[in-house]
Amino acid sequence: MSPWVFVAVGYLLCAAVWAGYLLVGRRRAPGGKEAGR
Amino acid sequence: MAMPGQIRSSNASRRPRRRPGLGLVTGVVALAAAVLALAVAPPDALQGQSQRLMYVHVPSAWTAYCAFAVVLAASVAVLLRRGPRWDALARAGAELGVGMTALAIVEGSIWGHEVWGVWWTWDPRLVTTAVLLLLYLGYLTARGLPGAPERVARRSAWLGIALFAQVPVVHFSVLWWRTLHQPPTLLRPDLEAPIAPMMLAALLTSLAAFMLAGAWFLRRRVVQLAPAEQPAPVAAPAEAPEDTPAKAPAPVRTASDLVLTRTSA
Repeated sequence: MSPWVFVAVGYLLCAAVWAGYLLVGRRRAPGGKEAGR
Repeated sequence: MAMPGQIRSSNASRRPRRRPGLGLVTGVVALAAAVLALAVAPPDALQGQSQRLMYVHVPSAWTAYCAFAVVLAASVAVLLRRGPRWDALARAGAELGVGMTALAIVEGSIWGHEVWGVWWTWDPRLVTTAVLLLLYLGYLTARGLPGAPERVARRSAWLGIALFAQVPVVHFSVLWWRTLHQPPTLLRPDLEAPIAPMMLAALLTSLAAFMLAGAWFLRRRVVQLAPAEQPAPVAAPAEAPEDTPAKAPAPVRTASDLVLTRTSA
């Protein structure tokens, strides 16, 4: 199998992990939109 | 304008300020890192294209080290009674570090399969890194154990300080013991990096992208995790006569109150 396949899997995995952090980080604080009011 | 009886939560000041700059810069640096790592940097003379996994494997491990250093610093701040935000920062740092450690292990496993021929071996670097992951998973689990928030924070702080001892063990494992894993490329005792300039540029750019993304996550996550501060009642308005006794806060109007008001009107 081409080494590029493993490289692609590695980079996609990395992107998926960071996408997970991005989603968690973008979640609103408890209380949602009104939390700061 | 604040009305009598109205409460003002200081949570408003803790809301993340809109700083699109950090996200934008992170995205641009990440894109540059991907181009450098996948297209510009040359393939390794011995390992070929598989070596390109280094540009995600090494920054993952370094980001994990830094995240655990954040846990350490925040834990010290908690013990110095600096406030609940530091406890939130410690938890966020552990969350980031655990994910980055797991990512480094998996990336290393893929790379190892290509150049060593095995997915896993009982090598000191691999084992100490797996222990690091388990320790901080335990830290996050321990944070969920029941107890008063102040007590949990202090207990976790002691744990966060103690666990950091494993980080130098992981880093120096390739120097202390005979190992299959290669020695450090950049953080070497002699500070002479045996790496081609373009490879070094790709590695440092990728590292910058990871650090920026980690900083972005920590900033957002602390705001999510830090408990809301105690709401402070707003003082009565200045136009009220001084000799007038302070009015009690207006009762909360419910649906039944409104119905009663309408029927009595």
